[in-house]
Amino acid sequence: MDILTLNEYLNRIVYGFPMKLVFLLVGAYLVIFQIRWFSAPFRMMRVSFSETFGAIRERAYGFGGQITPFQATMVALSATVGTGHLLGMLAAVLVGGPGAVFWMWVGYFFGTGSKFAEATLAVHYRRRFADGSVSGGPMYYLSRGLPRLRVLGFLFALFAAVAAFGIGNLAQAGAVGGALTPLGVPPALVGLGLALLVGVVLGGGIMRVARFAQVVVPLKLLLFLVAVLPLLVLYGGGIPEALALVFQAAFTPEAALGGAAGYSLYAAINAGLGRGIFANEAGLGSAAIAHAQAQVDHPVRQGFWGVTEMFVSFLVTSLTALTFIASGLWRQGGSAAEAAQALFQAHPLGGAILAATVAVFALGTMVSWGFYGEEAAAYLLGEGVRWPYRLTFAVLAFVGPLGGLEAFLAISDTLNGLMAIPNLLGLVLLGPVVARLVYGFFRGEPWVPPR
Amino acid sequence: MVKRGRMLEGNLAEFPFPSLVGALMSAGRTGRLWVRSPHLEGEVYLQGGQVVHARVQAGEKALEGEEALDLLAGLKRAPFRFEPETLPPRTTLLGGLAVPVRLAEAQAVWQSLSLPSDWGYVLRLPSQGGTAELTPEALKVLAQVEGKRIAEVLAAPGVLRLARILHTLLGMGALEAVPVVEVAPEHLLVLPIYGPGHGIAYVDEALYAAWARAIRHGFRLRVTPPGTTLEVRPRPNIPGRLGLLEEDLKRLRLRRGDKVEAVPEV
Repeated sequence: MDILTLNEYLNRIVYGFPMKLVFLLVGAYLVIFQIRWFSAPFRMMRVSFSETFGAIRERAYGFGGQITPFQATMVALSATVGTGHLLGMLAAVLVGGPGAVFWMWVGYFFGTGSKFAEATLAVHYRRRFADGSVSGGPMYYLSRGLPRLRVLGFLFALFAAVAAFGIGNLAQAGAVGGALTPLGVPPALVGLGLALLVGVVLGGGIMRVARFAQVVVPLKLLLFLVAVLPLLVLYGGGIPEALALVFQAAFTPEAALGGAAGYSLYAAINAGLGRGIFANEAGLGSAAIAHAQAQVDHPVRQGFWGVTEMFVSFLVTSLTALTFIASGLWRQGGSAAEAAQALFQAHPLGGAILAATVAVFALGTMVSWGFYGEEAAAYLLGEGVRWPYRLTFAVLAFVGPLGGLEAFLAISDTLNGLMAIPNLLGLVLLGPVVARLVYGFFRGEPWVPPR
Repeated sequence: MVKRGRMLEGNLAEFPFPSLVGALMSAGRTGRLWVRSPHLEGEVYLQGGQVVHARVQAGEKALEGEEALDLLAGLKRAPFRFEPETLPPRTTLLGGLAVPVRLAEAQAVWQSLSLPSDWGYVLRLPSQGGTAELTPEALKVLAQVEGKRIAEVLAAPGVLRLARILHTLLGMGALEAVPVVEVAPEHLLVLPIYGPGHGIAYVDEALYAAWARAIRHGFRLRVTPPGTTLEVRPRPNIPGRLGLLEEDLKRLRLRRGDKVEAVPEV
C-alpha cells in the first residue's frame, strides 16, 4: 500500500459517517452530562450572552492572557468562518438536500459542548512563560491533564503543525487565487501579496494576529451580509417555505422532495452533520489554541466565548443555506462552485462579491491557521522553531495560488481530520474537569490553575 | 535615644515618658522636651532639673500643668526631642518630688487601661445596636465623643477619668475606635460572579493587600453608585474589576462593565 492509498483510506475514516457520529456523541456527552446545559437552560443562555456580547464594550486588564476574550474569539472565528461556510454549505445542500440543514443544526447544537469544553480546558491548562506570553490548546490540556497519555498531546501538535501548511495555507491560498485570478490578477502576484501579508502578520505574534483578526472578522461578516442580504431580499418570500422544507426533508427526504433523485435520509444526515461539525471546527481542537490566549479570570468565561463563536458560525451557514434553498437553485444539482455562480448571478454586484467574500474568508483562515501551526510546532520543537515556521508558511502562501502539491494537500487534509482523534478522546477523559470548573464557576469560586 | 550635637532625640516607644522626664530631672537639665505625634503635640520645660511647665495641644484643645503630664504619660509612641537651655514661657508646675510621683501614678493608671495605641483613631458608635447599662457620666461622655479622635477626647480636664470611661465603653462595645481611612477611591468595572450569597464585593488580591496595608483594620467597601457598603474579599486575577454576586447586581441595578467608585471604609 503506497502512502497515497493509505492516506485515502485514513481520509475516509476521519471524515466518514462513523467519525461524525463520534463527534456528535462526544458533544452530546459534554452537553448533557458534564456542562449540563439543560440543568438551567435559561440561566445558561442569559449568562452566555452576558459573558460575551455583554462584555464586548469592556477592555480587559491583564487577567493573565495576552489578548482580550473578544480578540481570542475573533482569531478563532477568523479561522472558522472560511470558504466552508459558503461553498461547503452549498455542497452539503446539493448532496444531502434541504434536510441536511436540520442535521447541521443538530451538529452545531451538540458541537457547543465540544467547543465550550475546548475553550475552557485551553485556558485551564495553558502555560504562562516568564516573558508574559501564554501558550495553550489541546496539546497542553492533553499532556498536562492526562500525563499518562501525554503522547496524545504530541500527536495533536504534530497533526496540527503539518495540517496548517496544507488545509490552513495551500488550500486557502489556492481559494484566494481561484477567486482573484478570474478578475485578471496574476496568480504569482496573488501569491506574493499573500506571502507578504501572512509573513508580516504572523511575525508580530499573537498580538498582531489578534489585531488582524479583529479587523478581518467584522470585514468577513460585512462582506457576507453585502453578499447575502440582496439575495435574501430577492428570495425572502421563499424563506418560510425553505424552513418548512428543511424540517420536512430532515426525516423523510424522499416524501418531502417529491421523489427527487439521490436524496436519502442517510445523505441528509451525513452531509448535514459534516457541515455541523467541520464548518465550526468543534471537536477538532484548533480554535482552543486561540481561546487559550484570552485574558480571563476563570476558564469558564472563555468557554462561553467558544459558544458565541459557534453562534456566529451557525448564523453564517444557516443564512447561506436558507438563501440557497429559497432560491430553488439546489434542485438543479451540479458542483458547489457552479451553484455559487448561479446563485450570485442574481446579485447586483455579480460574481465580484462572491470572489471578494471567498478571498477574504480564505485570507482570515490562513492567518489564524498560521498561528495555530506555529503554536503546535513550538510545542513540539521549542521556541526556536517559530521564525522558520513562519517563513515556511509564507513561502507556501506564495505557492498556493500557483497550484500543485496536490498530494501534500491530500495528506494534510487527512492530518486535519486526524487532529480530532486525540482531541475527542481528551475531551471525554477531561469532561469531569470541565464539569468541576463549571460547578465552581456557578458557585462563585475563584479559579485555581493546575500546577 | 540619640544625642545629636547638644540635642537629645528618640521615640517614646523606646524610652517611656515618665522614665525620660525622670532621667532629665536626675541630670539637672534645663530646656524643653518636645513630643509630637500626628494628632498631639506636647512640651515639658525643665529648669535645673525641676519640671516647671507642661502643655499639650490636640486639635483645638489644650491642657496645661499636671493634666498635661497625665496625658503625656499615656503616650506609647511618639518622637521626642530635648532642646537644652530653652526657657519656659511661664510656670504651671511647682517642681520637686510631686512631678515624679504624679507621673508614676499616671503611668500605673495607663498600664491598667487598654486603649488603642494610636490616638488618631476616631471614636464612633457601633453599627449594630445593642443594650448596655451606663453610668450618667459614661453616658455623657458617649454623647460627646462620636466622630472625635481619641487624642481630642482625652485632651480635656480629668484626663485619667476620661481614659477610664473610654476604656470601659470600648470594652463593653458601646463605642468603637477605628482608624481614619484616607485611601484614594478606585474606579473599577463590575464583573459578575455567579454563585449563591449576597452582600460581598470581590477585588483583586493585590488591591486588597494594598488597602489592608494602608488601613491595618477590618474594612468594608463603599460602592458608588449606588452608594452601598459591602463586605469585601480578595479574589485572584481580577485587576481593575469589582466582582459582585448576581443577587447584588440585581439589587443594586448594576450590570457587567458598569464603572463604579470603590472606597474602603472602616
